[in-house]
Amino acid sequence: MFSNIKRRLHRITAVARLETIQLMRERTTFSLIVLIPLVQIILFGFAVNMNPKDVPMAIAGTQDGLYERLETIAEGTGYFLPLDGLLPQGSAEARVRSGQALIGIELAEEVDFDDLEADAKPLTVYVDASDAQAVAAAASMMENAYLKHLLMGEVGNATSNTVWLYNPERETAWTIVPGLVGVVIMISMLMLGALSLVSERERGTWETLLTTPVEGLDALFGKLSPCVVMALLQAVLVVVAANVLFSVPMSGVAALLLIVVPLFAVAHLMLGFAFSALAQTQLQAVQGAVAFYLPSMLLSGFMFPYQGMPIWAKVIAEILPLTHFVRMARGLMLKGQSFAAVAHELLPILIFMVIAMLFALRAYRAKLD
Amino acid sequence: MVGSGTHMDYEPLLSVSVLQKRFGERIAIDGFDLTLEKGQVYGLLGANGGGKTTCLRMLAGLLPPDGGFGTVLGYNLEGGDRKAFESMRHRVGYMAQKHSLYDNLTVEENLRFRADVYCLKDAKAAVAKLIEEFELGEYRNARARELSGGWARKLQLAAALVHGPELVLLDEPTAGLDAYAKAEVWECISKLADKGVGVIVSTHDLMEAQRCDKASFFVDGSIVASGTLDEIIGQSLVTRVTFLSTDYESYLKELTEQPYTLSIVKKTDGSCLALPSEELPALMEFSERKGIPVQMQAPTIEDAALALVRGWSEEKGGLYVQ
Repeated sequence: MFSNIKRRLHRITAVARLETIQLMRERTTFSLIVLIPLVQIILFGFAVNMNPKDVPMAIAGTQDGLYERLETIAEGTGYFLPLDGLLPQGSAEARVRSGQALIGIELAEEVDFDDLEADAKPLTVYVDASDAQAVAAAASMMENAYLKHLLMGEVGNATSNTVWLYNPERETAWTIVPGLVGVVIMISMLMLGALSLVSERERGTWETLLTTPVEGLDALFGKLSPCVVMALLQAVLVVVAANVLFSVPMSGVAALLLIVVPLFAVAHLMLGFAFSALAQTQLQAVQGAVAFYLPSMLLSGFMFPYQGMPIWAKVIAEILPLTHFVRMARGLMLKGQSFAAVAHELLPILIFMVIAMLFALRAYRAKLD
Repeated sequence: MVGSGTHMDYEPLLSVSVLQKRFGERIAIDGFDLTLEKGQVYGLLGANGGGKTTCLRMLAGLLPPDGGFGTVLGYNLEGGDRKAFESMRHRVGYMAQKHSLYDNLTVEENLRFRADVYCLKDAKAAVAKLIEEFELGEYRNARARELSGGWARKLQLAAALVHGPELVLLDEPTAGLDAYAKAEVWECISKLADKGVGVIVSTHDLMEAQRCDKASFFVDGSIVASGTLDEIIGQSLVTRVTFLSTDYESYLKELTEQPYTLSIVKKTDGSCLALPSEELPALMEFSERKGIPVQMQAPTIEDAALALVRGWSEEKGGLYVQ
């Protein structure tokens, strides 16, 4: 019994050493492992902004006084860039349709803002909804500011105060980065797992490996363990880069994310390994990996809000490890939650990992036929 | 075919009967029989796609047979006995037809990996010994991808032997090699046999059959002849005849077009022709008609192969019964 375990460990170590040497010497693979997180964090951190400012706005009407008040409100939000002063009556919609403005406000004629009737419609807002996300935040801010202004008119200096928890400046990078750790690891591990066996098959080494005492479990753990170390390095790289470049908070609790990373990485490695065992070519294996990670990115809450999805999509999302990782990462990094508070998210990842492992082991010996 | 080796004091290394393998509707192997003794070199001959690789994979435990029975080093190919399977894998050396080396690893690292997965007690010493035996010292630190075809094959063979197997299965070990490299590989095989290792080697190079103690000739997954080289030639029922005339224009074209002609080679003193033995009367009639004397010769293994393949295909097509 003991000698069996010893021999198995020996074989796993041999395979792990083989994989490590190959990973280190395969420059393309190795550089991808470092480049993927760096490129993603730079793109998501610096380029992606889900809270755009300086949205071009056109205001049209006849009342100069009203225009000035409205311009003050708009500028006060910090989201708008009014165009060309007060435009001729009826031209707001045209400015939006011509693409010169994303929002156009048409002021009604002969309206007294200080004495509005209950059903009055003092202004019409035209929004370019072909890119709704680009103007959603700005439009929302405008509406808030407008209501606030009305409210002040009615009840003196009464006002409301919105407190933005966890991300007071609503920095996109802060929202993106915790989930990005998971996305980077998911893509890298799926790819590494997917290419592991199929590249051996194409080289012809798999056939030989199957004639040796190396069993499915040995190959699985041996091949995947260096990848888990890679995943940990990627996680550290993303978190540290996020802290240095975007001041994303990194409390001591955030380090606990490193406990989750190996499980999360193994879950995707196993799935990639199964794709690899079932595929005949590297292209097929990669296609399998892509077919999995694209829905993961879309449904996990990383890019789009989980709350906005229909029930069936939520059910799928709950199966995906990325969904739970994103929740844990945001909880630990942004909200400063305790590990205990997010630990329940580990269970679905574990279940997924075990199922993927069984699938991978079954696929390992099935394909020479 | 059941081999009868020269080392009958020993238990056979493997003994299989009527093995069959199907891939979907296609029968890849149809009734393979073999008994292999220690120190015997057995050849699997035939064209590409004939079923040689499938046969080796079944014997290595890589593919389960769909029919037939037998044991390899005590392991019953029908499966089930995990312990016997483990034991068999420790005692078999397998060399795949593909260039199955880790290209980014050095020669020494490739061998070390194979030694480690067999949990050899002194892997380092085993590797050093192989490097010396196969004269790989000069390339010890070269990456596998930097090796020429011949050296890569030698390394593959060395890797298959790192754990001192009792049975070695070699799939086209000389494919793509020049004559010198081929001779080196065969020298290694002979040394293995001298040590009592059983070797099964597949090849489509018919000249290599003479280096085997016995062989089976595969066509479309079936064994159409087996035994020693002479026995295979005998079973092919082929005849070789030399037309002793250098007036080639008077007969060569017409003879080439005869349906019984398997092959014809123009030589300086005449033309050599191979044909099925039963067609000899027709040939003699042609010879008399042309007034050209003929001389009977010993057929070669190539003649036999042509006759066996044609006989098989005509039998399948219902045109020719050998």
